[in-house]
Amino acid sequence: MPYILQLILVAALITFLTRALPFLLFGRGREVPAVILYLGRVLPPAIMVILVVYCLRHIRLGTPEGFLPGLLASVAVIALHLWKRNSLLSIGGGTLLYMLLLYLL
Amino acid sequence: MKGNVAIDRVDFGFFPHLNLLETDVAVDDIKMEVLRLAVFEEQSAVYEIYLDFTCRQAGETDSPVDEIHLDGFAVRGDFDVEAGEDRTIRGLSLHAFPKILEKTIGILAGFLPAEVKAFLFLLHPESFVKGKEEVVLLAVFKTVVICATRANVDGNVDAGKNQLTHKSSPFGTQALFSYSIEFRQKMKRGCTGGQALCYAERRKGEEILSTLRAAFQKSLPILAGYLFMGFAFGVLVRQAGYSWLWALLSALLVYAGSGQFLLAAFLFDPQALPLFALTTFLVNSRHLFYGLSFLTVFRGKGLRRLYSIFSLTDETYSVLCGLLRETPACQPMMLQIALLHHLYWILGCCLGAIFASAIPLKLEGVDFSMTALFLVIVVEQWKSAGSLRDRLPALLGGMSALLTLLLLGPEHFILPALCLALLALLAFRRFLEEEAS
Repeated sequence: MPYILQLILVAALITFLTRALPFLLFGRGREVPAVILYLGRVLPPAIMVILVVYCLRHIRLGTPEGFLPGLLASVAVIALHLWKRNSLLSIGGGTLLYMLLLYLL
Repeated sequence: MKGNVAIDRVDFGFFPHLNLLETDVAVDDIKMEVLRLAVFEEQSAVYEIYLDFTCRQAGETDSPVDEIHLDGFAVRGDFDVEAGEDRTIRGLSLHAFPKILEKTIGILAGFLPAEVKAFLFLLHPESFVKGKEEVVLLAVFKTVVICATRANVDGNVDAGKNQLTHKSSPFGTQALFSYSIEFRQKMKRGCTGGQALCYAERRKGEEILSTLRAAFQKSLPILAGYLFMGFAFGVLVRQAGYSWLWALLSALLVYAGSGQFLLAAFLFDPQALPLFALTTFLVNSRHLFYGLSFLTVFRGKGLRRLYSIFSLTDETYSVLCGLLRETPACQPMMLQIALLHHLYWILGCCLGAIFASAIPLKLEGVDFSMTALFLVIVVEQWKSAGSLRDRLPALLGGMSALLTLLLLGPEHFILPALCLALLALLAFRRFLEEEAS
């Protein structure tokens, strides 16, 4: 079996398992404990913020090109979204600004 | 050409318990008509089945009708109807299917979708004795149209619907059933099963299209990011010396952004499968938390549920979370969004691997669209939360992330951050639950 195929199969299996585990544990037919339902309700907002930090984790405060593009573009996304509340505009605008800043700095 | 055809007896072949209710059929040029057949009576409920059929004329408009199509079943015979003439057809026969079918149907039936089962029920009802109500709903099968509803349709719709609700999927038989009942009520039963079904089909089509349109709009923010990230992965696969088909395969089977980049990195390190497995698990461990929000939402049929779980990437998770707040449990749209996202990803991976060297385009930074997407979702949640209490989960998440990032560094913080957030949320449970009630 080619090495890449081994890698793909292992990755597919593990990725699917991590996604399926909650359903295996609390899946169909069994009653979901109240605490799990509570977590399912309050986790998404927390996870979203963590994902934002995760995406920006490579920001370095040492040099301006290390943190300026990510920071300015993020501020732009938030401002655009507060102003127009149009997801496509906020995402598109922020991304373009980020690319521009990467190119300039 | 007009005329009346009376049918005095129908030999129903495989459907011995069918009997004819309406015997007079007006023949009016080439026109679709409906034959109403009662199926069975059971516990005061009469089920009805409608068969559409078409009268065909051989040639010119004034030539006699020489063929009646009970759609799939062509019934040829002694019933030329001249203009203005009334005629009785004797011995209409529905023996059109070979016996071998009868045997296989019973075996296969268990695995089939409801629409197909309903069709097969017509062929071989005995196989379905147990699941009568499940299959005798309503079905569209290209040629045969069955419209089975409770006889007391107008008075008893809700009873009929309730029985169906838990057995049918939103876009399956049930939608057609309720639409056709809607139509029949509107027409005060003065319509044929075929008309009702045309209406139901159209409504269902509109519904699917409008959902798909909405799903496409919701999936748009992901389009650029997935195409770009997939593209980058495809380039890596080619650089490691593999063909684009491998990129396609991993996009199809693995479907994880960071997971696949890890895979590409390990392509250059051929002796490290166990290490790869462990790292993949750690990188993807954040997915362990995603399912918790969809435990009660993903409950379609087997394959759909499996796919919904399989396709729960960071981005799909975020988009679906947004959907969860707007319209609870709109599963068909969720599935369509997941499929569209997967499609973008597959497209990106393949394009990247195919045009690895051909495109000198510099797209550095397009991947920021993912960050922007998560930011937009955070802003949305922040704005829709009314009080500080509502915003507490996001605050706790942010604090856990920053704390662990500072302590552990950018490469190993995500799983601890998630665990810390989980613990913090558990610690504040009483406080947050109060707010909910």
